[in-house]
Amino acid sequence: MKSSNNINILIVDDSPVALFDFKFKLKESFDKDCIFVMDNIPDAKDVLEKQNINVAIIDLMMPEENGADLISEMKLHDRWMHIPVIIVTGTGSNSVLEYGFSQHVYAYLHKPVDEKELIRLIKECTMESNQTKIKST
Amino acid sequence: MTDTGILDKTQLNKYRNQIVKLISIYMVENDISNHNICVAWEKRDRKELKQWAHKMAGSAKTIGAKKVHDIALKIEGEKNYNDQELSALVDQLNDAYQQLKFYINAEKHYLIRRSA
Repeated sequence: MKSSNNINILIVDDSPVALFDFKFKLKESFDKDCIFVMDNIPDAKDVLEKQNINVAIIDLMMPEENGADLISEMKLHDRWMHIPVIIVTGTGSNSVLEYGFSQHVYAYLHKPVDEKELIRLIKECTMESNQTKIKST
Repeated sequence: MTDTGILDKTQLNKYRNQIVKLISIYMVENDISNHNICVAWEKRDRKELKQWAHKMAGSAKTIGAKKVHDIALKIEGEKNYNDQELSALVDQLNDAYQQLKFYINAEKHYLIRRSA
């Protein structure tokens, strides 16, 4: 069943296989028009600028671009800094974990991502983010 | 035939179509990655080699291509292989990928025939 309130999800990964996998796993639970899949950083920034994104799922290591740079930029941007970030990684190295903690990312997931865990995390972090917004207003 | 009264095949065909699409996307992406791995190794550019191996390992894991994943992971990993060892791994990866392509192409055509 699709969630009643629309959650805008940004997914950034340079791998078409990974993007296909994400879309496939999310399409039953979320409105497909609210899932923005981007294979490069400039397009991802464009979506962040134009859409009211509720959660960003970002691959950390990409051969030609760096997801870490995007996350760092988001954390310095007035409008983007509160968007919960879930990082996706193909490796489980300590450097990835350390990076995640340093940037206060919400969670990290290993590829291939577990469908239930992915959906749970998206719902959980957007709910927490909404509650924080309500408290701060 | 789409509905035998016992099974509405359109439902299963939706998943078949998704698998066929995934295999096609995988092969397009990984033909490029495999090519770039060979080019990086010809240039002896270890950094670029590891980056493409990382990408190849990730998508291989997604579709369950174990052999390709394991070899790509070795190339991507921290261990400092000498040129001879790395060259052998690049060859192994190429062989494993060609073998995988043969299998998944066969799978793809089987699924296409089944859904027809």
